[in-house]
Amino acid sequence: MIEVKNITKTYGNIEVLKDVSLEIKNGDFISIVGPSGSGKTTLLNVVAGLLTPTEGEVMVDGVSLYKLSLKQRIAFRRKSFGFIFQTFNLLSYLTAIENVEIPLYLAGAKSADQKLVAKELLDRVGLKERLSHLPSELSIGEQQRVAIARALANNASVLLADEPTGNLDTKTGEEFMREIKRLNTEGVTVLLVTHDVEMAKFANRQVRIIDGRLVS
Amino acid sequence: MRTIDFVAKEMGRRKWKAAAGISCILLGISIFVAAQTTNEALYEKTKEQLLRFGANIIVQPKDEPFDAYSGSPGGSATLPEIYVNRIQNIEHSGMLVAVSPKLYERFEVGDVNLLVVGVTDDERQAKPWWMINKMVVTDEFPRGKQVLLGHYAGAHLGAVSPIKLDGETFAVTGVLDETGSADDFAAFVPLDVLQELTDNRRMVNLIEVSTSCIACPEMNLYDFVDEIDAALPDDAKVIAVKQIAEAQMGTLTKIGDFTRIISIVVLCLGAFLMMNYMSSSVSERRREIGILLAIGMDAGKIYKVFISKALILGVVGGLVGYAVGTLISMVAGPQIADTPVSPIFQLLPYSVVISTVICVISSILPARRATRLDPVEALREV
Ligand SMILES: Nc1ncnc2c1ncn2[C@@H]1O[C@H](COP(=O)(O)OP(=O)(O)OP(=O)(O)O)[C@@H](O)[C@H]1O
Ligand SMILES: [Mg+2]
Repeated sequence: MIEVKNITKTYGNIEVLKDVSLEIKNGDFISIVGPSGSGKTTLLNVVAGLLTPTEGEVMVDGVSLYKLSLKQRIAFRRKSFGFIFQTFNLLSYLTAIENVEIPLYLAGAKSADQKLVAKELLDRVGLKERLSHLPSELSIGEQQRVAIARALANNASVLLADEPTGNLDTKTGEEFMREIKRLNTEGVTVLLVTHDVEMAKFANRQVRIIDGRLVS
Repeated sequence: MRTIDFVAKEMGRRKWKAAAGISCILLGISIFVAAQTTNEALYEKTKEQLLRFGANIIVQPKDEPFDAYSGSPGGSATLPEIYVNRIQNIEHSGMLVAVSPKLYERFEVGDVNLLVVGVTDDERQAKPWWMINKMVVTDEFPRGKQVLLGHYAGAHLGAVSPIKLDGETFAVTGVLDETGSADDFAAFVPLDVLQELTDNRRMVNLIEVSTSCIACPEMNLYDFVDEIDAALPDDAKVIAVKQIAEAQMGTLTKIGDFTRIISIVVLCLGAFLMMNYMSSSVSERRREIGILLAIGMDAGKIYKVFISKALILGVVGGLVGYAVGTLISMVAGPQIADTPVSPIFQLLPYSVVISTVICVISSILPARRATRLDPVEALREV
């Protein structure tokens, strides 16, 4: 369970997040929607352990993220969170399977195991035939599915996605969301940032953020 | 995937980038190798020339100038030949290669004013480079009324017809190959014959002493000079020809120093280029590093990746740099040093190690910059 407790984030004297609290239960699928500049990405980064809040704390399964040392926080991210960004998720010089191997490599898994797991994951997102394609040889939709596979490589329990369908057309975007939904039903917790209302509907719960404040 | 695979894949699929990295270190290493290789050839050549100079100690009458250019005494004063025995009996005589007494006299032969040198068998030891048609001088060495001609003396006088010295007929035993020294213009007869002919019985103008070492650790040239000086009466002067040697060796040392400075400068330049290359690859790839940091790459792994890359660049740069540098020196060296240049294989491990060390050191700061990147900032840039 992730507890976001009274988070405030200020840049200079601009308050980007204002006393935000949110509870994400294991297996939840929450979408954060809101206009551009409302603080969605900022909130996601704080939850992800990437951005230290000015006030408040983030608890993940009882661990206060920002009380960990930087090194511990990185290790925590590695094993608990999977990330999907809007664009350029993948390393351009690595093939699909190699990109999925990266988190496993970072976690110190054996080469043979990395290959095995990565293959299985790509199979799971329907890219069995695209293992040794470079990102430039894949469609944007396929690239995003490779990103899903990579996000799941370390058996992450939480998927954090920032506008993952932002660069996809409606049809591909919906396919992508169905994939995420399926993973959620298999037990993965999902926190999705989007400003696309249609995509947000895939979630169990929608949270609106306006001007750094949660309204819902 | 291991770190090395990760790095190798990146370099393999971005070949031009990798080549640019290698060329940064290649430049420094190849100039370093070329400079060292050419310098070594130059050094060997000069050393050989020094040995060609022959004697490294000269014994001659006091107050007589020595003509270093022609290798002969400037005047006609003499010393007793018996001094040769005294020199041969010094404590470290075992290290003497040759003690060669000489008498000089000029004769008019036809239209040539010929320098005739009276020599003993020791002259052959002192001048192992004396050749006739590229063969070591043996039976041609003059005995009795025989004369051996220097290259140009022979060319002038004709190699076959006997020559007349002060009315006496001397058979020509041979003409020496060119030596590039004053010997080319002289004629050589047995010492005792010339002594007889010039009424200088048992007297010599000069004794040349060759030692087996110019700068041996146990016995340097000046120790020999002192020993010989102590063994001879006051009318003899003992000179170390090292003054000449030192002048040349001094030039060599200066060239060596210059080579070292050049090497250090180009290697520093290589380090600078490498650092710049690594640094710019951090700046160019902020987004990528941001993703890697977000998904859990820690500082240790980042250093590992950078150092592995530096190792590959360093080893390849060192190997290729050695090859390129050797090639440069073999092509350009003969024009600069006027001597054939051969590869120095011992430089290969040095160039690989130096190259690798430079690459690794130059990568540490850029790697540190990568570890300090803020993933949130980096990810914001598209
Ligand atoms: N490093 C920063 N310094 C100053 N202001 C910042 C910084 N990062 C973000 N902001 C500001 O915080 C606000 C929220 O930014 P954020 O990126 O969270 O918006 P968002 O809801 O994700 O918008 P979008 O839908 O366009 O991605 C914006 O006004 C932005 O300008
Ligand atoms: Mg955003």
